[in-house]
Amino acid sequence: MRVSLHWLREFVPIQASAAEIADRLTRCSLEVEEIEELGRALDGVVVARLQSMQPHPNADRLTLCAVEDGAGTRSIVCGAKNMQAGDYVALALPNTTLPNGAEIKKSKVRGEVSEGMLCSESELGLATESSGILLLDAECAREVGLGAPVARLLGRDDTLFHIDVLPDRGDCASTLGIAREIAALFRLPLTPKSVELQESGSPTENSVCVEVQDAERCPRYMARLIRGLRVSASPEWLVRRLESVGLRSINNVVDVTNYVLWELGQPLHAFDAATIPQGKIVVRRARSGEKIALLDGGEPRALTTEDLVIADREQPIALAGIMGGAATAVSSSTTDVILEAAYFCDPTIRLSARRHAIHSDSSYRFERGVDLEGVARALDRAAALIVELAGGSIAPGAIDLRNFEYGRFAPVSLRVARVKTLLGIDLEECEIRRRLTSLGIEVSGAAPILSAKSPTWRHDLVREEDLLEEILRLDGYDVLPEALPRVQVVHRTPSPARKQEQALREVLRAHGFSEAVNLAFVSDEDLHAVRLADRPERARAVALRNPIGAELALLRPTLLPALLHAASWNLRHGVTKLCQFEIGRIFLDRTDEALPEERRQLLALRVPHAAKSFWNRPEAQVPFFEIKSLLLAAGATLRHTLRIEAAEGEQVSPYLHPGIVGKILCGSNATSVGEIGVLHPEVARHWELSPETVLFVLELDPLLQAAPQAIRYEPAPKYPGVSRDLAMLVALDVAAAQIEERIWKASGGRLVGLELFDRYIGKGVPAGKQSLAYRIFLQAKDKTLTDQEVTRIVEKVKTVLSQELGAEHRE
Amino acid sequence: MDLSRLVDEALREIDTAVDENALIQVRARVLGKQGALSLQLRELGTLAPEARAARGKDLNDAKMRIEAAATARLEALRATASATRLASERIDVSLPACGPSLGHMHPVRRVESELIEIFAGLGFEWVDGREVETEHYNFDALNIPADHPAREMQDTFFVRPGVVLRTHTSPVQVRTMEKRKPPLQVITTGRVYRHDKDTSHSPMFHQLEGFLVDDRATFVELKGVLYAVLRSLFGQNVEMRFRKNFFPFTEPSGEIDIRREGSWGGRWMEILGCGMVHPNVLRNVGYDPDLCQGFAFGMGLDRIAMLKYGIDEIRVLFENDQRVLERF
Repeated sequence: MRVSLHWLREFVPIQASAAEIADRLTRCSLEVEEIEELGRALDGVVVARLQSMQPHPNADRLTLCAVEDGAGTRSIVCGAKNMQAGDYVALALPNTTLPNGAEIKKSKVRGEVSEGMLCSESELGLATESSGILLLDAECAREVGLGAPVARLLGRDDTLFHIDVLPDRGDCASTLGIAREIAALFRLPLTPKSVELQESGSPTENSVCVEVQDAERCPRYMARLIRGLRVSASPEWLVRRLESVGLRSINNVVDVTNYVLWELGQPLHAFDAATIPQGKIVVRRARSGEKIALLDGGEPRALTTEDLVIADREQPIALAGIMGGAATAVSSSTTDVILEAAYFCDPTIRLSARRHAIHSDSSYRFERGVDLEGVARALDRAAALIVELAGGSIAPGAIDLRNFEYGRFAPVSLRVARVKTLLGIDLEECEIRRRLTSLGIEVSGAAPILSAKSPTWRHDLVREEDLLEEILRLDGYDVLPEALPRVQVVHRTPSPARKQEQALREVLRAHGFSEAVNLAFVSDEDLHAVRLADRPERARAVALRNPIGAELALLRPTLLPALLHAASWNLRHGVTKLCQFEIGRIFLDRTDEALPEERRQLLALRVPHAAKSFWNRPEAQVPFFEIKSLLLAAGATLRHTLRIEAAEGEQVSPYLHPGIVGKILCGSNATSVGEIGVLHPEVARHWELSPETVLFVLELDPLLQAAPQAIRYEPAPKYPGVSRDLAMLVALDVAAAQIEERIWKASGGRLVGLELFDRYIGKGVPAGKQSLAYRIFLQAKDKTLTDQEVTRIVEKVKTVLSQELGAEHRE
Repeated sequence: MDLSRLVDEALREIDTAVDENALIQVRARVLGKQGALSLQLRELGTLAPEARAARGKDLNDAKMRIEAAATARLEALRATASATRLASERIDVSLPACGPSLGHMHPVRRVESELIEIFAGLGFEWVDGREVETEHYNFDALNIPADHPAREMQDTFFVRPGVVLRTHTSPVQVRTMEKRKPPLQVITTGRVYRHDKDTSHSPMFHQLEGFLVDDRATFVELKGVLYAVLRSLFGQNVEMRFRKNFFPFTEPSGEIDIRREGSWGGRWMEILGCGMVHPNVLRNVGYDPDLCQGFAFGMGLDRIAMLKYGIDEIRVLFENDQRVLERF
């Protein structure tokens, strides 16, 4: 909301600078988002007096002027002819930029020095066209003095505060409201304007009859009648005032209603009395099917029974508190007006305004609550001002229909001790009283409990805490001391989920992966692209009722698409190697509960180098085993030994290569905690990624549930161990895991480790077979194994491998 | 052979031995089992006893001289060989390192971690919470009335009637208070969602929310905690401003701004909102506002990351441009 400093000064004698006022308001009351100096555009243009004139020696059309600017006399070359010696003029000093963009410099014009420029109205931005230079009013010029800014003389040196009125402070949505705040913050008196009203003619009630059918939604309705006025243009000062708060002048009657709204915060409306049969006004709910064309010139609006309207005998003539109807608007032929000032209840207006998407200055104020007791004053002020500007006479008596049940605020109790115990500061009782009183709050009673009755314009002071905030804010929070809490010490266990995530982040980072954070939305198209269209992930995806766009329509049931987007984007922008991961939630609808399932997941994605781009790296590395090693490291950092088991068919996510994919298992009961594999070639192609793109997905919650391996000391082996090599031929479809499992089982507790040191397929190995070479390490805790024992174990292992897996052993 | 000639010859051969092998051969020729000197030593027994002593001493001296020379030569040869080998093994250590380089933290995660640590130092425990919430936990329990503008479709993402994407982390406050009893000193962090198409906003961002509820927490303690946190985060000399604000879930309420130089040109930038927990909120979770009180605060992690690292657009945070992430 915009507030003019000049206007404020009509209510409060504030001398502080605009910056000081803004700073204090921002700290203690409402945020001033911007200070707009209206005169700034005319900086450098001063009041000057034309001393003498003579023709320019080298140009017929130019005149040499001697101009007095308070500091001295300047010579100015001027092309205008409409001035004479003794005139007061607007002088732009050298190094000034005018509103029209012209830069004024000291210069020579046809050989004569010109130290500035005499300005026209259009050059100063005061008019779109003008002829000759601007001649200033001599009396005003003498008053402000030579050398004073022209903006001051023209009344254009006002300052506007752009204020963010908080939703609980509707009382501040006016000049008077801000003036009240300033008076309290700067400890100044408030100087309200008195209204003198001259009534004449036949009483209002003879010509106007108001019926309020919904007193709950309209607790107060007032009206006055003005007869015989003349609608015309508003005077300059009023136009300028309205302009300053961002309003366009319409005519003197409508302008007054707007003016009083901005001044006192009370919305008003003027009806052309001739358009209302028998002056009959009804405040009621709209009937279904009713329509009204409003002042905004739009299509007639269909009303609902929840809308409150002002109606004549038959039909609505205004949407109450929001906007007047077109049919009853004041026009140039209007002579009599019915002036309305009312109090409409905030939720009604808020809902109606929202339903019809109309946000007017009037609805803005009713939504926040106006002053029930200020209605009469605003009505009288507006009536008086209309008569002053448009003539006519005010009919005796105002109509005032009031629901007396409404708007009686109960006094709020304030325990004086709470200042200390809730705010933590020491304040004398008299200071507490002073602060509350300065805000118009009536304080009675005495410590330990005061009783505070808030002024009728404040709707937000309903609890002790509200009063405590008022006490606190007047001096600002910046002056408060700082203290640390005097807490009771409580033992707290750090969150295991957070520890888990942090540990994973560290191990992934150590392996060269960077953390991504993506929006949690995906599109249907994305899910198609990762081949999930027919899967439960799609069916259970949580759809938003009001998405921002189709590409953000679903909550993600997988972290994959966003990471693929990022990978693809990065590679297209010259990044050669991409290792990113994200830790976040996926969302899946469930039929048995209102809230969807939320699962914490980790997805790590590695897109290999587009080409061999590192000087020392063997090209032929299998990317799967690299990311497998990272996965195992991630498991180990959480003290889990993760296992990877071949998976196929429906068990496998369709975005993974069906031949290069494994389930990730954890713990003795082999809980499934994720998947690892190569990205499906079709998915890779969709995002233009390498077919060797690998990834794994870890389910973090089940992983957190699995018991980690305890850390237990075991002494280093005392007796030496031995190693033996096993070379064999086995069928290609025998998995390494099967072989290893047999070796462990068959070696009867003497095996302490094994490693695959060679694997070969090709020339020399029969088709359909693979040659594998394992080195096994045997050791006993209590003795040195004899050759015999070792041989026996090795033989047993060999036998088991041959019998169960068809291994042919080679020497 | 004349002993002195033998010694001279041996010493000369030792000195000219080109490598360890040559040296071993020289040694074997002189001192080996069939070596010239060994043979002479073996012949000692055939000498007359009176001549034996003198001859024995001469032979032993010769042997020791040759041995010493061989040992010295061996050491010299080894030293040379080692030096040669080491020289040949020289590599260009300025070639690039191989293996993975350290990955990068996301800027929002970086400030999140830093703040969680700072709050841990003040005794605040971290808890987690849901992102899809009921209107009850996101609004009603927080004293946000049904007709509040924030509850409109244009501000909040709806999943179905009564179910929304949380618009702030405050539901965690409510759920935690419901589950537990004071004293509580808790923070939470996470993603929140607002229906915002504006390019200067993002439909998803991150918040940190915290509260302390016991029987004695005061407003000046709120100030003490938050000022301590902001000084840890932005440096001891950070300029702060604490001003009045309005939130439905706190009373009194305030907001803290910090002054930022650089592209912000010394402007005050909002950094967090806070206040004393509203008695209605306490009542809604079953607490008695006459017996307990506390303060709460919330801040945007994305905004803090932007202010701390000089990021001018929030969009940048969720693009995951590797070239940007590599700065962190």
